[in-house]
Amino acid sequence: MGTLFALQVEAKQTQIMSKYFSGFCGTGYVTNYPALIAKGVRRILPDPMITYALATTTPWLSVSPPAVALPFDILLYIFTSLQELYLKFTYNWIVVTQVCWKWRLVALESPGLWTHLSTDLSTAFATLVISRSLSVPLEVCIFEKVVHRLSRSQAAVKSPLKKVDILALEQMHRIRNLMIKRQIPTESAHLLRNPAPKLERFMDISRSAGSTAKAPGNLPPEVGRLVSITLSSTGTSRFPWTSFSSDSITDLRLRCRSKVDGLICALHKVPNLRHFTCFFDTKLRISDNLPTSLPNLQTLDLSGQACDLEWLLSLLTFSSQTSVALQLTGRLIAADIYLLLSQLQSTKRCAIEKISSFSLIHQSSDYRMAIHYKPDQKLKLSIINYIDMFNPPTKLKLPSLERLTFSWISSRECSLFDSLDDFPHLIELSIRGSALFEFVSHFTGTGSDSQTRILTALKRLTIWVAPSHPYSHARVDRNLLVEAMFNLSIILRDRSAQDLPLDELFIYEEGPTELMTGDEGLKPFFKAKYEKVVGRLVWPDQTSEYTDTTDKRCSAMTLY
Amino acid sequence: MAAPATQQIKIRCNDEKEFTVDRDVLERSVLIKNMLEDVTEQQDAPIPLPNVSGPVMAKVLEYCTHHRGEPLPSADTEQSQDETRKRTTDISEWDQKFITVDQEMLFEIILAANYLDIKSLLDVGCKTVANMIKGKTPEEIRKLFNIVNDFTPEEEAQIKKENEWAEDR
Repeated sequence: MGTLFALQVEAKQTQIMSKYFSGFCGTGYVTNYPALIAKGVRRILPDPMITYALATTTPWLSVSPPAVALPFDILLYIFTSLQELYLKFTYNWIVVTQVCWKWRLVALESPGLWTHLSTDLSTAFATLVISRSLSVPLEVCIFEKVVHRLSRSQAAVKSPLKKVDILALEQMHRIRNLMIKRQIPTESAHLLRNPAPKLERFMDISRSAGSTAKAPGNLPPEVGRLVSITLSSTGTSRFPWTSFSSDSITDLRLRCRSKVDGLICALHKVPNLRHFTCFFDTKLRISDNLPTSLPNLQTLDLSGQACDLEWLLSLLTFSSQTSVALQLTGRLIAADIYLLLSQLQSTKRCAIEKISSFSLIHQSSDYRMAIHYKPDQKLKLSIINYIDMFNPPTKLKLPSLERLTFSWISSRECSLFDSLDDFPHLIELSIRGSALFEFVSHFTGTGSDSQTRILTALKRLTIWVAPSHPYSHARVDRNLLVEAMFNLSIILRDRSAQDLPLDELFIYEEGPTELMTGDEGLKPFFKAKYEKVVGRLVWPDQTSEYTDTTDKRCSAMTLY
Repeated sequence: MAAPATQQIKIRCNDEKEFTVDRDVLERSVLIKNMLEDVTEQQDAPIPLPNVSGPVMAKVLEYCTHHRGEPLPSADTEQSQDETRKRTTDISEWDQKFITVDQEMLFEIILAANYLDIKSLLDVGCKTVANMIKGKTPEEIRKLFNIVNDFTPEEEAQIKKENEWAEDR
């Protein structure tokens, strides 16, 4: 009996899955299908059906609905994909264990699905998870679930670990990814003193809490091949740097306040660093005892005082890589950004030539700006800027820009608009608020060649209609909007006539505008106009919330 | 020495349907790629694909043609658990349109992608099914996929209770 089922399952064993999940073999993913089936079939089908299946040459799998007949490994792949659709450390995906016995069996017999333990789980369920995960390495997240607003640090110190946290930390020998987001009380500190031979990723972003800040760091002893360390300011200062060294660390994320000793020490301890994310609020002296070589450094994400041109040039020089991705976040004023950009564009220093992508992000109460820059032939640039504050000193040449967002741009800040004719490859355009008037005026003007060129490649247009400016609360003139939208429909009609139809047009309302809905709304009129001239018109019935659509692949430009 | 990218290869499906396809399109399938690399002399006989029907193969080839030239996932990526965990949950717009097929075809595509070893297509198929499952109750899932509830009422109650433990409330 067992042999036949083993043969049937073997026939279903397939190319990719054996390879794809081979990486999980060592971590306990299902590999023994015959045994699984032998056990599982008895639960999935009553004995008479097994007898019947055995008596016929048709495998029982083939008479089931397709979703049940799928091989075990593909079902596991689907469940893994489902798991990834939900937030990490949640178990919403376990609904599949309630569907049928076969699905339940696949889920329960796949230890790799049961690897996440967090403070959010009940003790009973955490016990189940630990049991079902067999010997698979675990990911553990310990955090303070209840934060007392008035006495946060006191609560953090006094609040004992939950039983589920203790259960999780007792599995230290199996933990691969440990995230600590709270102070560990003294009485539980011993849990972090057990060896963690499988630990690869360690995060300690617990807050500073009085005298315990001087206690040793939370890094367990005898760690495995650590590849990533993330530390808060407290974590950085408490981390046992002096006794630590790792050539396996490739990813280091640090925050430093007041002093940068930990940072400097850390950089000497991780010679094979590839990705470095760092915030510090103290001006770093280049004369500080920096390492002279970080040959594998590939990405740099610097914020705060780390956004220093000389500092980043030094780091770039340390790298032996031919290209380095760079992101800077800090309180840089717009002029600084342009100065830095200008320097990066003009300098011939080899360090600059290493930069494969470049991103500057500024955020303050006044305005925000981000520049993503790739100084190669496929130049991608993104700027987010509340542009009321300044006029850029120079026009930016962006010949390869593919995505562009105008948001609340007024006529005073048209200097960048003038360079629209430098965007021959623009394929996506988003317009928010009053920027629509500026945009439309460009295309309903004299009809110059440049206007035609930008339209040539354009395939997707998104418009956010808003009643007022989100910061200044200036009202949008309804008559202007009506005119702009009407002119837009003419443009789209003309484009269609020139065989340049848009693939997609998205129109969203931002806030309760009453401009596009209601009895006297413009929606019915414009919907009729637009539907004839675009491939796909998306016009949600509900008011939508604006979300920043800045392209993460550095191929967009957004102006606020 | 690698054959020129424009070489045409014949394949034969289990319903005798034959396709003649550019080699670089077919090589999206690691199974076929390996077979072709193992054959030193050019052969006119079509490659038999006994586990794929003509209509399904037509869809698979549509996918391979669209994605021709894109880098294949490396062995390193496949073996890295972290990379596996970081697999994006997004499906591109074209892929979404492509995979908008009836359920029977969807599962056939998944099986074919698995057999032919086309990981990106398998990914798209499995993510699509996962998206169909997401947010649904067990009963809705059963209805969606025509799955019979083979739990006894007692088992069902027990499992429901067990799953309710998941979150500490």
